[in-house]
Amino acid sequence: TQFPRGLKMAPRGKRLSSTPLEILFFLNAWYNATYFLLELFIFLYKGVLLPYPTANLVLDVVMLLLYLGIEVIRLFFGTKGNLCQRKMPLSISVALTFPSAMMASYYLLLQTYVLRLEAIMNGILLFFCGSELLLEVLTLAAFSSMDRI
Amino acid sequence: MENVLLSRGFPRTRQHARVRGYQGNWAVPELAERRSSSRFVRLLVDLRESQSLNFQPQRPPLLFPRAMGRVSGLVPSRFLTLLAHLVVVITLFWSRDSNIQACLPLRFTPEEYDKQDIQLVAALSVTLGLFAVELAGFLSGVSMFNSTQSLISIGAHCSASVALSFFIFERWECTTYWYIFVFCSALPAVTEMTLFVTVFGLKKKPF
Repeated sequence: TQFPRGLKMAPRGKRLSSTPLEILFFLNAWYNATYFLLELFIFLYKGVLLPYPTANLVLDVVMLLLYLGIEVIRLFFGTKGNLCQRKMPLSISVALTFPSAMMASYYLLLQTYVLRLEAIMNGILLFFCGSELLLEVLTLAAFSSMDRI
Repeated sequence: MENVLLSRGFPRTRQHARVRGYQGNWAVPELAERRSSSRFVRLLVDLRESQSLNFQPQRPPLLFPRAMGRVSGLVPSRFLTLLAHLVVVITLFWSRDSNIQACLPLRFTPEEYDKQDIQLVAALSVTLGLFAVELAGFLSGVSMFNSTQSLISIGAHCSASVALSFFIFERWECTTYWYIFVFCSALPAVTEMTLFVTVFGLKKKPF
């Protein structure tokens, strides 16, 4: 089996990966890392300062860890799907955007005690989720127009 | 793993060998040494290559241009410090009541309060406008890879975040905000606008 040496990238007409989406995933990954560290410290602060029923605090911290897992998987599948120009990982990422957005809304609205700082951070997260969802749908449409070889 | 990616039905001509990946896309796997010639073909996606042990990344990942050659930490640092400053400014918008009371004498009328309130809201709105300029320059790529602008931005926004946190907690008085504004919001925005003019007007390279 022999392959031509020069074939390295997709040819010009077929480079359909979305650069803005890639930028958003990259920045979102860094922002999420900061967000989770910040939230851990905030839960420490709230747990010491505010009168929490223990079950609520435990629930919030455990949901934070689950949220971390969902975000990691979503961003990983998103970048891989976008760069490999494959629809399946990208659609998994789209599907995971909804639980992500729901968790961000929970931390924004339904939590036991919401600090102003948390409200702003979760708002920025929702902005990231929304713009990534929009760009992912457009990118999926672009990939669907790619010829099947 | 390469065998999974190969489909058997490709033509064996030199010029037009197209390989069908198992998902139907342009997947061209790397081959180990074969009997007649050692040809190494890379996969399309450089990040995917760097994950697997068999492949070597051919060029730096998509986000970083050739002139830089390696992954830098300036881009995420700049973004995070910019966002930190933005978060503190929005918090200040929300909780400006105690700061305005610090500007006023012990007994004040509602008119005086409103006057100071409008001034502080105006200052904060101008800050948000300059944030929009800087974020536009950053996200559009005009100054994302410019080291000078990144360093100015990181320094300014970092000091602004610290100073504004002190402003909120220690209840500094209102005129102090203008000093923070000039050095930490106006300066990076002015350099950003200079870069806009340089790139779009004078057609220079952004990095």
